Amino acid sequence: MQAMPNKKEQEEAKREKAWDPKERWKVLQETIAWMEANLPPEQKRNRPRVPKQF
Amino acid sequence: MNIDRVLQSLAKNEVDYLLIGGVNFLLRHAPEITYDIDVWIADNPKNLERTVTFLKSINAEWGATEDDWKPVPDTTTWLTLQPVFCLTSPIAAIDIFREVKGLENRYDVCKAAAIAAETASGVPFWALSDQHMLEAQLALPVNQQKSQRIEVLNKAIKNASDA
Repeated sequence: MQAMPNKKEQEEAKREKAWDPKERWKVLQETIAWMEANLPPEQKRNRPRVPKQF
Repeated sequence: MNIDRVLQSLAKNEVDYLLIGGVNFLLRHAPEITYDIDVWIADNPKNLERTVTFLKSINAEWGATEDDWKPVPDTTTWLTLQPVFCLTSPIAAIDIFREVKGLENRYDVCKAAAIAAETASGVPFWALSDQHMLEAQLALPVNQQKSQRIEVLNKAIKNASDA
């Protein structure tokens, strides 16, 4: 078997070429949304910046 | 959401796996930009069968070349041909590892030390431990290491040992 970092890079490059651009865009948007939802509250981008009582 | 569905499908198909890479780091420590989910699977015939069933359940595609990209085969032979595969699916990009640099031939040890964790939606998953994540990072060439990840992991390991 080939050394992994090199093989991983080859595999990633191949996937990029093979991936349907529309599906890629949709999957990446969903992945970004999932990551945002899984961040701790203090690290979310759209968290409230002002205390609720104001 | 999409990665939750991948983790649910891994569990449903009883795949023996560990979540590694950026998603594991993000879920357990700090934000990190990543767009695929890295899964290390136990490399035995039964688990390769389960992995194929899992991949088919999420309509994963792979090809030996970009021109040969297609739904994954029903058999496991293709999965034995290389140590890592980068696949597409309509719900997520998935990397399947049969071997992880720095942790070669240590899947069972790593699984024994794995963390049972949950995503924000409560989906359970098996996470590679901080110590083993660190070992995998340090085994990479220096120009491929993620310094922020190494720093955070070193702190987490130190905090755990101090506690």
